[in-house]
Amino acid sequence: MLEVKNLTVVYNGVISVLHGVSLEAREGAITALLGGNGSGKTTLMRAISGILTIYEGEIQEGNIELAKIKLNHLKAVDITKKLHLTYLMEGRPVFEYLSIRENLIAAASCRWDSAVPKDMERVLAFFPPLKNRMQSKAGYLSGGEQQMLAMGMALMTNPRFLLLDEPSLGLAPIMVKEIFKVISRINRERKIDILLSEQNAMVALRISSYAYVMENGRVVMDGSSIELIENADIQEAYLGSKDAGKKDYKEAKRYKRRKRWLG
Amino acid sequence: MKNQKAFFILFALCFIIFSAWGSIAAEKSPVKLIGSAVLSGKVGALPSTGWGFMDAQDYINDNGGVNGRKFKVILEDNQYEIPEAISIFNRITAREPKDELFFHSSWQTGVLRSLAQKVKENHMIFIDGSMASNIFNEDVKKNYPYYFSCGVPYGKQCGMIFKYINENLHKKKKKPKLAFIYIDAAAGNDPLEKMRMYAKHFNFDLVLVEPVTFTTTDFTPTLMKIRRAKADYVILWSWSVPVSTRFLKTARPYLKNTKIFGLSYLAWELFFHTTGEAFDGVYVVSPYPRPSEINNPLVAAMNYYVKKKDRKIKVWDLYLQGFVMSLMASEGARRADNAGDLSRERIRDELENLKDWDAFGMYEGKTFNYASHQFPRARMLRADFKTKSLIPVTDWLVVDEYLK
Amino acid sequence: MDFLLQAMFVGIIKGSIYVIIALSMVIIYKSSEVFNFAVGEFCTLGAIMFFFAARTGLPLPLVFLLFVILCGLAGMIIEKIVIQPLMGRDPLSTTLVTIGLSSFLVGLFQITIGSTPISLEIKLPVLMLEIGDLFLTSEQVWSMIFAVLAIGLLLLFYQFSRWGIIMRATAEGQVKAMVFGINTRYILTLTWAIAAIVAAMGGLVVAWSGTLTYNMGIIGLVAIPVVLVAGLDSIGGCIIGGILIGVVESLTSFYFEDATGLKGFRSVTPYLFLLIVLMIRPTGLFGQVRIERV
Repeated sequence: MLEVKNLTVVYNGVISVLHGVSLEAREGAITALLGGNGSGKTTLMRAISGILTIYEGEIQEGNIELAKIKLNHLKAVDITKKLHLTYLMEGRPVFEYLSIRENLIAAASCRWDSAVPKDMERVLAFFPPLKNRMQSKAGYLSGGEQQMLAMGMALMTNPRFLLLDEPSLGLAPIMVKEIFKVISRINRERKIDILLSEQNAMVALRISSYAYVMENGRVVMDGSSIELIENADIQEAYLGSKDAGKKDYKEAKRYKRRKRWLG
Repeated sequence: MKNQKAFFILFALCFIIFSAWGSIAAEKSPVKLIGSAVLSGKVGALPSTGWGFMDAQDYINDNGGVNGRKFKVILEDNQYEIPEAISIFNRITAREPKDELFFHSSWQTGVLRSLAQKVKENHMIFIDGSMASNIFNEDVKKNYPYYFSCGVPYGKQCGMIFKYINENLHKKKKKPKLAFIYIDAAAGNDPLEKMRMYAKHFNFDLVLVEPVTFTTTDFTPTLMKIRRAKADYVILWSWSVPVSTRFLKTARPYLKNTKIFGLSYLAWELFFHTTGEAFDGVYVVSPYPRPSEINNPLVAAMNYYVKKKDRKIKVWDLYLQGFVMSLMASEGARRADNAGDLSRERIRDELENLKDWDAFGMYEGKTFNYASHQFPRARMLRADFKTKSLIPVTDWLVVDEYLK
Repeated sequence: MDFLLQAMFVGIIKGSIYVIIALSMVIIYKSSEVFNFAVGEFCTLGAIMFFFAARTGLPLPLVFLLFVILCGLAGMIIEKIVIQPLMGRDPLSTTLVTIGLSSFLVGLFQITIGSTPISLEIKLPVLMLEIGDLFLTSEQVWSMIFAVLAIGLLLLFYQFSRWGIIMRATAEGQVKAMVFGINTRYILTLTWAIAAIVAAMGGLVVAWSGTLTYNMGIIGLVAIPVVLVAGLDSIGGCIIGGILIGVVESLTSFYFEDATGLKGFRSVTPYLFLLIVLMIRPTGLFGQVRIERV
């Protein structure tokens, strides 16, 4: 179980990005993290995975705990290697000049054991399109294939917990569907807990069991995914309600007031 | 009262100091030499050059100095840079009194050229490691009266090689064919004219005159040319150890029927270590006794200091030059002092008129004279890899007579 | 004809030495965008290490092994002391530090081995090549063999071994590599160690066919035009560029210098060649084609 308690993050010592964020990602589940651009999702994930310092960021307050182990000051490599938490950055973080095979090998570097070749087969079983193109450079793959490869690489690190940062970004709708199917399969079949950040709220809510909504560095709403799908505010803000035009200004205000109160 | 006492003590102290100073000053004035050595810089650090000066200074002073005067070497590092050497010369001549500083020693032809006018004016005596043919020629007394070389000019060394080949090596009927390889820089061009003259004089066929550079790493084109020209003999005129080494290493297996000759800068035992077997059988000219000749009085004197001070001498000839240049200077000063006129002018005359002198036993009983401002004698030697020594193949030849 | 063949052979041999030295530079450039100006001193370092390794009197294969280990260690130590404190800064600052490193090393070498040239003796069978006037010394033949071995082993390692793949991955993006659990610090140290070994190979060959001097690192300067001609980050280009420059230089020394009387012009040709190449192709001949999807 991943627990974030009252987390405050500052960039460059002055720019405050997260203001006391608290959340929980339960074992065996997919937890969704919704929010628009600049809401702090990526920063949160950087903080969890330990690469915040590279971006000149710093945790000022609060705690991050994975199965009761404090992550605050651990190195990124140790978090991946020893605590089996892998962060898949947004924008398809594949090594473009390496072939698919080499990409998978490189990603497995932190756990080189005899099981790797076998594991590679298992991982590739999730992504059949990759199988036929093992020798082609990752840079020449389509966006969807690259995202698949990136997820495959994340799996090669042998994670127990996955942070997925906007896996649907810039993909064709049909590809998005495909990717999310795989995500829920990974969750079920490999018993990997997932924290999934998304702007595409509808898809994310469908496969997750619990969700948090972030805005301006605060969690403004949380609840089980089914609940949130029904929620009028969410529908209005992220899902594009069918009768949005009929809503009047007063009701929009109500959401804003509530947001302030929650924050 | 207290003040008065303090003043008295101060006065007494001053008196003691001044009188002590006075008594030192009453000692005879020392004889000084500027040792402008190559201790660092682009050709590398050559500490042997400095050690030669320092040990000679000790040797002279241990043996009574210059008629009781201390012999003092002002050792400076010129980094093999002409501007640096000139600035050392200017600085120290301005600093030191004229009746104590008489000599200057360095290793660069370029410095001799640059300072020619100035030396003519202030009469400083240059005893120099340079053996440039263009300076130490027939007109040296007229053009460069204060310059003395610590060796035999390069052109004459070439001449000695020609004569030696004619007398001892060349058995064929045909004219001997010779290739001349030199480093294309100031001292490299220097003997060209004289070399051509001697080639004509000794009836040689000069089939190839080929320049190389300091940066040359591959000598195969040069060697191909030598082979095509069918040269029987090659003279390598290089004072750069890497160039000589690379040339010898490549040439040895390729030029099987060609004998290789070198001037005094190839007459170093060091090449046994850098080139190994490739140095075997190379003929060289050298005006100096070799370190292995322990019965030579000069070598014995030098070895005494090498041992005493635990010197690791890499290049014997540079150590020897520093040593010998200082000895020459002290001898000149001694003779001038004996004559009662210790001045630059007089020392110059004494050096020039040195005759039938044994030069500290350098030539094992044979005599030395400095009339031509050059060392009068030299030997041909052959490199022998087995014993790692240069073995003399001729006696101490009087260069000018030999070349007639 | 002999003359031309000789020129070509000599050029290729010379070029292959340039290739080794340039490769050392390229590996480091690829992994951290640092231009290692101390590469020439790494060569000298290698030759000195071999000199000391040979002194132990071990059999030749063991001497080679010791030499490789010593050079790798030296590379690691240099990286730990000099490069790592600057990690995360602009690569330019590290590049400037390598210039300082190079002067420091030259001084250090002068203290340790003195300034008289040393001859490296490697007891290998004589492989002289002599066909008519065509002539290659044993050292030249062996240096060709060394070069091919060094380049081949490096390529095999870099392209196919697991560590090579990880090194290439790290070269593409350190943060990316880090989140996949690659210890990028360690990989960078490894990169410097391998670069040091590669350069040392070059240094060994240079010192062997000539002499070992404390300032022979000047040869590293020629690696700069090779690397730039190749396009900074291309290993294949490096091989072709190096040999090209070696041949151009050799042809100059065989033909052009005699025809014009400009002795020593060969030392300028690599830079002249570089100038011409950069005028025509500013990215170098083989600059890596950026993968861009539309």
